[in-house]
Amino acid sequence: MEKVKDWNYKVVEKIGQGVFGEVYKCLNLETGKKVAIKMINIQNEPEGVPSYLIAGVSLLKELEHDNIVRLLDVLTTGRYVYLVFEYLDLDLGSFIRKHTITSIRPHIKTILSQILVGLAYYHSHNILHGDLQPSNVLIDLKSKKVKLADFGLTTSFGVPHIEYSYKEVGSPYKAPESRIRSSVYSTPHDVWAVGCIFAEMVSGKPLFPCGKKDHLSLIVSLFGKPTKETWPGANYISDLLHSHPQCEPADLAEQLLGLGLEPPGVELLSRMISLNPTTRITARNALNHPYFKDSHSSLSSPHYEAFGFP
Amino acid sequence: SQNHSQDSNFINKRSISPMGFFPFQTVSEELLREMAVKEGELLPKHDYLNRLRSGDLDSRVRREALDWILKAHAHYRFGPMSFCLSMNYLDRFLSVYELPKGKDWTVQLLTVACLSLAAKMEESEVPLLVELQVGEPKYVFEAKTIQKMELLVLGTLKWRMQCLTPCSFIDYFLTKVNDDQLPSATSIFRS
Repeated sequence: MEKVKDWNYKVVEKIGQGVFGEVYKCLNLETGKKVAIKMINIQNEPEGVPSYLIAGVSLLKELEHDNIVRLLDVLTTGRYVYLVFEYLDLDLGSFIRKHTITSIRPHIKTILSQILVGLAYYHSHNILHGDLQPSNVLIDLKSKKVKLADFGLTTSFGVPHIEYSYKEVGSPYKAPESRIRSSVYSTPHDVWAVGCIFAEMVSGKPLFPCGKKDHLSLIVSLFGKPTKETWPGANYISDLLHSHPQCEPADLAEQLLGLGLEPPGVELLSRMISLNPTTRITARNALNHPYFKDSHSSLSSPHYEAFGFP
Repeated sequence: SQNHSQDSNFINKRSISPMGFFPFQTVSEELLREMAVKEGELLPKHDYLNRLRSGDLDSRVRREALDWILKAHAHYRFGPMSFCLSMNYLDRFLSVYELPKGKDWTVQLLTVACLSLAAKMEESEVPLLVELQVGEPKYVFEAKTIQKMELLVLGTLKWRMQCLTPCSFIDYFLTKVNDDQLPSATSIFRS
């Protein structure tokens, strides 16, 4: 990294490569705190500072919530803009990979509710997160705090030539409606992703794994073949669905109950991954779901009352 | 452009911000309260008006800037929010940053940068920076120079560009006086 005025950070390691630049884990030499610094190259921008950056950063500046990583600072040189974010050492993806599902189980409720609290804050400000996945959920084990991050590390959106009308590419946490070309998607898109994350915490593996099968086949095998009644989006891709055989929905509930998820949890999950985005539960309503009313939760849960405005 | 669509990850998903001028958006009372607090934080320094009146700050500078912004704004038929934002940026910047005296090109550069930033925040179509400089100005700046000034303004304003101006509140109050019916776009512009 080049020399920057007011640069008080020591680079620890590169943690990601986004579409617009690299992300580094750094140490603030003054406070000793870890931060994530996203470098955005602007030297080849022909029209001054690009509008996505002005609008994006100024929006991040206004977000202030316990369950969302803070944009701490913005530093600039003639060539780069550096976004300095709060950082926590562990992300949910690694947490799930490194632990057995039995040891994750007692933490699910507190993690899930904090994800939803952060998301409800985004949505109350009419903002979509758009890229929720386990690697964007950061965890501080000591304080049991969960924070949503968005460093744009993994997915790249906007594939130039979409030939199919069902987008297979992109994060496996993307909701089905957002994969349909030219369809509008909104806040339910994020709730779908939280549902996927929820299921992954319970089973230890992604609900829609990349690789073996395409996403639409996975949808069909999980829900049965969607009709335009169960999923308005089916209308747009009827040709594509036509090639899929009729099949019985998988009994996901049975599997999850077998993995130790309580019945209210199964009910909540089914409402989060409702195929029809208009009937999908909202983040705010999900927080009021009976699943979270369980007083025997093994963890203290200060996050319930933390919900609201800063 | 391809560049921008690729970055939908970073901003397009967020382009429905409540702080901007987006008709038909419901604003909750909680959000309104938060907006009112933020509005106070995003004003020029409190002594700004007095300094303009006393001549400590050259009010001619501001008037010339205002004139040019109005001209360019009308030329490109920008929305009311772009005008409010560009003047907010200009006033906030002038209230904390001392431009070198006697170099009128710096004022002009600042004015162009403020309008460009505001247009980029608000307008769906932003003219090229060279073309933005309408009205046969004395100096015409290259995009690279304007970028430097934009960065200085962004840094000085701590990247808090989502300001609340009267426009931000119109929706809410129009909805309120309208029996909680969403106002039509025309009534917003009439106001």
